[in-house]
Amino acid sequence: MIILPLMIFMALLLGAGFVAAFLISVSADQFEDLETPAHRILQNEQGERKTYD
Amino acid sequence: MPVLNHAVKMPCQHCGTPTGEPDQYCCGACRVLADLHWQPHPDDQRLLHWQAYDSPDLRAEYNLSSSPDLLRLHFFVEGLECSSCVHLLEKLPEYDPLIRSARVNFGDSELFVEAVADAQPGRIAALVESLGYHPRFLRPRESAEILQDEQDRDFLRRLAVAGACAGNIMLLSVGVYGGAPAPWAQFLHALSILLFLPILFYSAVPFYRGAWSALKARRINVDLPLVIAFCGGFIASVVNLYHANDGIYLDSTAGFLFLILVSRWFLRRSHRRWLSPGSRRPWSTEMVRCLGPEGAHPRSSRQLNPGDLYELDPEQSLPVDSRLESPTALLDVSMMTGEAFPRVFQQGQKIFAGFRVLERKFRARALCRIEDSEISRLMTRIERDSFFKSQKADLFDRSARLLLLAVLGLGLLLIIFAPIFGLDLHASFQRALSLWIVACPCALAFGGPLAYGAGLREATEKGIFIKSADVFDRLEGIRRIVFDKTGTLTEGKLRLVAQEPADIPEQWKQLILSLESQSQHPVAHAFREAWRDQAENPLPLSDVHEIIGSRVFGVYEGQVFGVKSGDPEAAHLEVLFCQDQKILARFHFSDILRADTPAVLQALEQHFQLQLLSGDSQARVDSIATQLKLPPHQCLGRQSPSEKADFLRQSPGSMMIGDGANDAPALAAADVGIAVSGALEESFRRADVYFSRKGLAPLLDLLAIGQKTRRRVWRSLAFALCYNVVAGAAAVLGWVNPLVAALLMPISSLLIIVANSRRIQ
Repeated sequence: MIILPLMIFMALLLGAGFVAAFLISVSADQFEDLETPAHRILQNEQGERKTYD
Repeated sequence: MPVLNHAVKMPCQHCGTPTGEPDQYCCGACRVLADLHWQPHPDDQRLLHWQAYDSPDLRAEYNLSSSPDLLRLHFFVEGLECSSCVHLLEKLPEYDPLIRSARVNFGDSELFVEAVADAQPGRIAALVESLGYHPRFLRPRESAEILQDEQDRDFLRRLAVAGACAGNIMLLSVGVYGGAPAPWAQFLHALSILLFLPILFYSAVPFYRGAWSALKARRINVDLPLVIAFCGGFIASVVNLYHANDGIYLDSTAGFLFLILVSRWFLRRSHRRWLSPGSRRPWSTEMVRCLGPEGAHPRSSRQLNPGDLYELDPEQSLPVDSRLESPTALLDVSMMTGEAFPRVFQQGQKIFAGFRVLERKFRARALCRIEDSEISRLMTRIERDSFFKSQKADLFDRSARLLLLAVLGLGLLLIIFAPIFGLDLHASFQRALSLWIVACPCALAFGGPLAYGAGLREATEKGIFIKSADVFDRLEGIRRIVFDKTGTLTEGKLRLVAQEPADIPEQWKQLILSLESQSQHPVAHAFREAWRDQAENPLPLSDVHEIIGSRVFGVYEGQVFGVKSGDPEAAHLEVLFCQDQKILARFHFSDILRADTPAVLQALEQHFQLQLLSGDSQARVDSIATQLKLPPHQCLGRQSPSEKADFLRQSPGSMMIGDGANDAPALAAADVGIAVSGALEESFRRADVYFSRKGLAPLLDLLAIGQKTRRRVWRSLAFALCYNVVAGAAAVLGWVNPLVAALLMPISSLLIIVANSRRIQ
């Protein structure tokens, strides 16, 4: 049964990791602008003409 | 964001956004990006226009960076259409080696530029403009706004921690409820207590602060019982765990705290998003041409000093109180005085900031600095009025406070007088705790924000922007509605309403249109509007002369024809069409009522006392009053801005609805101030409510939404009260232990959320 506390702690650790990731992303202003990144990713770095067929 | 014609959906050549016509680009950015070799060339005229921003003063004003070797600028950019615009603007560093980086915020139409310290702000603005956008410099944001952003982030962090901990505590408690044997149950409880600590010492801090600051002010608020409930719940759980008793309710306490945080977060967001969208927009700095000994140079109006001679173009507004230096000028004063018709000013007359130039550029000499102008002083006074208005407590706060006092007092009485009823201290504490938890005004804490949030959202969907949720409460006390005339009840522009003779020959119309073809006078616009369907057939006139604001004449086939103003005392603006000295026709112009005005007023008349306060002449006010069938004593003309404000201050329970700067003090003084669509920025900033739809119909919507919201709020209150009375009584009688209480509370909150959430989505 010793595996149980181990699993609980690992699960909590995993959870703590996600919380930490969220806190970091809040501090890095990732939730300030939710619209522009969606546009930014559409950019064509080489400036090639896209085709729409 | 894209304002495009989607009727014919041909994709943009570059980005694929549907555009109007085939083989077109949706915006300048796409056109530019399609051509790989294109380079921007800010021309001299553009550079000259922005040159003023290179001066040390303005540079210091707009530079966001505190470091000496970095220039950070913040622009509001008009014309962002699609992804290509983001791409193009973020390519700025490629076009100018002095620019280090450029970031776009598409949703807010903002651009952040970082450049080396020697870069010139004006040059950067000119570069942005040459890319096809209209940039405007933004001043560093006010500290209050930055603070609010930081608070938002802080709140989000606390919320995340509370959510994670509460979720895990609930998972652990599943094991306990599932029947874990003794040592495991203890272990799971201990873990729950550990997980509760971050909530207690981090997530709940705003509640401690709220409760403490209320106590310091000798008041109590919703935060206090929340603090008592979850601190008491935590302590009781720890004590019970130590004594190996039942009654550990960390899961529901944590869940409850998390839910409360979520509801507060929702309220914050809805306030940020739906309240005062315009408060983020800055004052635009008007640029004027300053005429010095070394010639004309552009300068920001904030830099004008008394005695400076400057020049303004049509459509510009006067930045400071000035003296007219050109022989005559035609100015639109309606925003400042409420007068419907433009006024002619002569050389040497004093003209005030806020007047709009209608025709021809003219020169004026500044009399004071921008902050000493009449309008700025007016605004400072209004600031004070708005401050006092925000001091009123809302309905929720008041009812919650009463409920709290009752609950806290009852709990204390229970503990103190427990021995009389034969209870031991442990049992009475248990009952008091159950009471505090169960009767904690959750329904108030949730119901209020949700009901108000739903109301705000509905209002926004109907084009009504509300700056503070307590407007809904204030609407209830409204008995009288005060209207401004020009621009509110009326359209604020001239229309041809009568002519004599009734049939105007075709040739006369052509003559008049030709005479007025170059004019920006409202009468000229009204003629063009009235005879819109006239064939375009300008007549060859010679020797056309215009005396600003009074007459225009020209020679056609050897005869002198003219258009001039008639009797100045008439209720309508009279204009005469003459041949030599003979009057051929008379035209009457008036600022006509908005199409929906009579219907709206008729609907309001049954419930409210209607009042009309206008800065325009009594004759014109009377003519409007007759049209609307309003009693004359309720319609006052020639009201100055401060007279209007005094009227509202002396008549409590009044709502003001207006548009001009002359209404701004009254809007601030009224219980509810409403700025209609097209209102001047100042009145928009002072009003509690802003209509983005044209006309007065939103007023009826606002009243309906207000009523609905108040009804929803009362329903929440009634529910909370019933729940509290029933559950509270049960707790006092000892039928509810703290565990059940802690379970009941989130359930009641969830009920409220579910009841309201349909409207929130």
